[in-house]
Amino acid sequence: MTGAFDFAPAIALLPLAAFVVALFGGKFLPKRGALAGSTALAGSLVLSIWTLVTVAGGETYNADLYTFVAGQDTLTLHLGILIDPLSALMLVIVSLIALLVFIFSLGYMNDEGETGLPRYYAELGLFSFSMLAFVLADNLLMAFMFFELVGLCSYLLIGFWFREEGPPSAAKKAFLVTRFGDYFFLVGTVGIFATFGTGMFAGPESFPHMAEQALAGETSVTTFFGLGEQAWFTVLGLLVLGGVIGKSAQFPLHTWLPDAMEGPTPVSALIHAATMVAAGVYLVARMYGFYLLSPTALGVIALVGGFTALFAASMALVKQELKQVLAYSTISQYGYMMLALGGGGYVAAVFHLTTHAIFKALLFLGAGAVIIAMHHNENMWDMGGLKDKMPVTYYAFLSGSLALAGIFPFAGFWSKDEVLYETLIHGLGGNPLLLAGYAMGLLAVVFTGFYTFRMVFLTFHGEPRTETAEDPHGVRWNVKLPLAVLGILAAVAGVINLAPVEKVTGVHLTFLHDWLDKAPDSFGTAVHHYTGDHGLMHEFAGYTATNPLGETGTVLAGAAVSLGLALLGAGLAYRLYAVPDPEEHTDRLGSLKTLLMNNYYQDEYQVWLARDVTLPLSRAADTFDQSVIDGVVNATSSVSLFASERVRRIQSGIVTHYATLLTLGLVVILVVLGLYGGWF
Amino acid sequence: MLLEALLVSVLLGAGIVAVAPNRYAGKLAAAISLVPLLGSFYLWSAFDGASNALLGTNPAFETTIEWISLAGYQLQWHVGLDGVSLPLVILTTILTTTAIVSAWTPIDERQSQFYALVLLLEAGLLGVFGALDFFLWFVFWEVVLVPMYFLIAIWGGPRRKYAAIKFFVYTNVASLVMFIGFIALVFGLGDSITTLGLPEITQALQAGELTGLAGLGPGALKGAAFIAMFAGFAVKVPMVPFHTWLPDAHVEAPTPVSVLLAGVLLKMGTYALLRFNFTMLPDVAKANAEIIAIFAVVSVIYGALLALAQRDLKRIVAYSSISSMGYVLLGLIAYTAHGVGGATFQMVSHGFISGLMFMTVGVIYNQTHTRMVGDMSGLADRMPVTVGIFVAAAFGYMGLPLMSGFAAEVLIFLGAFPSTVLPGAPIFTALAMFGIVIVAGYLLLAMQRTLFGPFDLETDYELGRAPVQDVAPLVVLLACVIALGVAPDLFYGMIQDAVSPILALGGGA
Repeated sequence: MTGAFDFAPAIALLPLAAFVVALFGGKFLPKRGALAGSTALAGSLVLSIWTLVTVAGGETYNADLYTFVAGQDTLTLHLGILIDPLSALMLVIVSLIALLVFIFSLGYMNDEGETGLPRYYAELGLFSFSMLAFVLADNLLMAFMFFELVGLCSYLLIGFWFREEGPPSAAKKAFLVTRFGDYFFLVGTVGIFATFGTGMFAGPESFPHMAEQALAGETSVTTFFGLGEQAWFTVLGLLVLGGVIGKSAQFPLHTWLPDAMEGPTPVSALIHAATMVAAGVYLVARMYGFYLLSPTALGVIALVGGFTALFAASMALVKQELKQVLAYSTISQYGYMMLALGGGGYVAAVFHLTTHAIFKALLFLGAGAVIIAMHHNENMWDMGGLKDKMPVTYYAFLSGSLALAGIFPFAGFWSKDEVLYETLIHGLGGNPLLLAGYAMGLLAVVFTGFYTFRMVFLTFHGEPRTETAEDPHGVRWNVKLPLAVLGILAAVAGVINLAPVEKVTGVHLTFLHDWLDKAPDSFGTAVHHYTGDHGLMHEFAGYTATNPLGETGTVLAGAAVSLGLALLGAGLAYRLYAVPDPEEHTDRLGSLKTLLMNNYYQDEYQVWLARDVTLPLSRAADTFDQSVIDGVVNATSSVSLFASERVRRIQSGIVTHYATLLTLGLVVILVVLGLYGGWF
Repeated sequence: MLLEALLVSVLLGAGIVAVAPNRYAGKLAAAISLVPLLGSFYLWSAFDGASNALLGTNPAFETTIEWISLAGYQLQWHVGLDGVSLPLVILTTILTTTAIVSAWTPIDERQSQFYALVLLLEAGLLGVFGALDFFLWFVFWEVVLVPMYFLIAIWGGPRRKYAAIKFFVYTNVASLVMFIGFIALVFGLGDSITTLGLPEITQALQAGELTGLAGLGPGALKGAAFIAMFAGFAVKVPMVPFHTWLPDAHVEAPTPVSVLLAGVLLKMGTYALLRFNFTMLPDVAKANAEIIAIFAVVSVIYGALLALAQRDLKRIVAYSSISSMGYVLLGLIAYTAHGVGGATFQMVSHGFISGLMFMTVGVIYNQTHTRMVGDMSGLADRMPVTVGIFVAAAFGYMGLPLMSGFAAEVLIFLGAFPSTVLPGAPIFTALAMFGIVIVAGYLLLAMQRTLFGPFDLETDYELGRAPVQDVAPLVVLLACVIALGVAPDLFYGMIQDAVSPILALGGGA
């Protein structure tokens, strides 16, 4: 019987076909390959939904498809497919947003008369292939492979406008910074293979399961450096986390993401907001069973996440360019997801991943529509009053902004609230690290409310501040359609997991929780296995939940606090910027603003490390190499030349000299022989 | 007799090309080189060797003919292939044909001599990988140097004389050191061997037949021989600190010659290390694993740093080879299946990728007449296809998954990390792996400066698209890199067959 899972490889392979078609035939195709890409992604979306429905029917899939390297008496490396509720959900998210971005690109790229479109659509297709294959990956090495490939696509697409100075530089930075993180990821991957002999994510043969058994004393595994098992697992987990921090743009490897805005805006929406950046967080979720074994690793994840959420939000406060605000907001929001994962909120993290993918893709596409309208000027201070000129964009953007700020009842409210709630109760259960993360996350809520609505008011409200803003360029259906779809989703997607409502009314509404709990017990990826009463979180991480006001009371209090803070930030933005002729109030921050505008000088020290430490070091090595090492080589030849020059003088060509030398030689030989032979 | 047929066809071809008119020499040489190319593919399809040529009994395509009797030893014409040498033979034939085609544009004088020498070089390389008798092997080993010397010295750049002599003298002195080391072993084996067959010597060493020589006990003799051979091959690889001939040779050599130099000649060094040091004297290697691993890590990191400092595209690629060969050494000393297997795979993979990189730089040079990073920018605007291949090749070099470099490197890392032979293996592996960050640094930096940004060219040449004959070989090599990256088992299965007997080796009694 053939079912959805037989077609699962096609979810990834269809965009690969689109890549090949666009690369080699894009020139000759209508819309330069956009239609091929859209068709492929539509196919992927249909297959993903079919897969989702099949998973809803209780079926899952975990199988090797292709033997990459067949080991003889040693590791065999596979490419395989793991379909459980988590990956099925992610497939739908990725293929949906990729499809919408292909459609939007018709408006952003084709209608704007860009050149190099076959290349653009080929690269988008390659990206979709890599990302979907990453999501499908059933083992860590395959995940790493496609993790790297999405990095390549990100590089190519950021540098799409290669004739300018900025994009190639930003592309290089993005690849290098993430490569630095991937180095640790690869060391961790190799370490996991060396420890467990497998990189499988799910099932009885998987490394999270083997690690769990090892800690329970049921089996033993090889550890290195004489570390205990839990300590070694912590080391491995933190190494893999390096890749996560790079790809999901977490502190201190977040610096590439704002620069990545040099790429075309649809690319920012797809890659640098909704999907590729999510790969890091997805990876932690994918191997959550492994991280739950190490409270240290969880603590690090929570702290990195909480700090990044606050840190990035603070920089978003003062940015003047629309896409820059969104870039820092993206970093901040991924911080929340990390905070949730570190804080034991597995469902909350996946929930926020889902809603964020929708509303941030929406905001970027909305920003793209504004940028078309503004003739590619991104500075918000040159905008204003666009609300009446482009109502579809405005209302969609507003919907996304309300979701981002976490205003009831938009999608972001529910997910962010759940992130904070989960962190809070596990923090109160005796984990001060989580409380610190929670505090930072809570403060970031105010900032989020403020920068979001500062952005909305500056862009759409008040009077037009430039001539372009008075007479914006119109956009067509291919821009409006994706905005409308995502605008509606951003408003309502929260219904998939209304945890607070469930607590209050008693009606069962946590569908996402149920969904993620559908994974079969044999996989070990179900929610109850992670955070249930006898789940790993309690057994190994030692997390306990404490609800000081009772469960309902704590939920409501937490929601009220975060909503209140979001409204506070939004209200402040309203006071300051929702006026006909706003001024830059953040100037009052003085030198603090300078610090924020300069991103805490994070870029400077990283550039310094590359340009002023590594490069001079390499030049010094080169000088050393040329002078000392090669010097010795050349000196050897000089010495032999010199010596032979001297020895050559014996070869004078005068026969009497030779006769003398012959006689002398004979005498020496006779004397030596005589001395040793005992003739004397 | 298949291997002999290949060798004869190449040698005959070299003779024919040498007397052909210059105008037709290139096309003729390419056509002739198709014979060994197709022949090597036939060898691949008919390959039935399942063990190591030195340790097993029956290598594929084996021929043994008594040849000369010298000082009590039978010298034999003894050739054969196993899973280590066959991939290298295929690498050689593919790279030779593509290098010949890529020479059509840049080589515009004395073509018949040039192509004849290239074919002679190919014959030497095939002989090195096929020979199973030490004397025969050594003849081919030295034969390779001669055409290479002339190819650099006649068709090279401004400092070609210096580079050619440095290459020749340096590697020849190294051969001498290695030769002394090996012959000491042979004499130390005394009457237990009657031929100079490499399998016989290896098996005699394994059986513990080594007696002392010139006052050295067997242990000391092994140690001394190991050091001599290691030093000799390290020059060829090249390994830091014996590497300084390489950048000079590469910069001065014409592009097609660089392709063969980096693609195949360097692999003679790692191939010989595997065959001699690591197969014949595994106990010495294992006892000094940390020292060898330090050589490996230093080669990787220091080589990569040197590449970062360069301004000449060809020097960048040249230095990066040093770095890549460091991985091979790391894999070998791990003595695990994926370590040694991955190292062998890396030899083949790096052959294709570095050949491709040199060739791409050469195609750009054909158009721009400069290789200096500062002299050009924004080439992507004018040569989109070539630049596209450049980008693909560079990412291949960085170890992008689904290209052969990734498979090779990740196998080496997977093999080296849990090695029980090498104390502190995880640390050495992790240190060497940092090379993957530096390689991305220097290649991305060079690409940003030369390929992207606003178009600018310091030299006064009209920049046009590269001709098809320049681009076609690039496409072929890129296809090989991707094919091996998607399906490493094309070669990796036979490599494992040949490598696994090495892992089981003890020290010899």
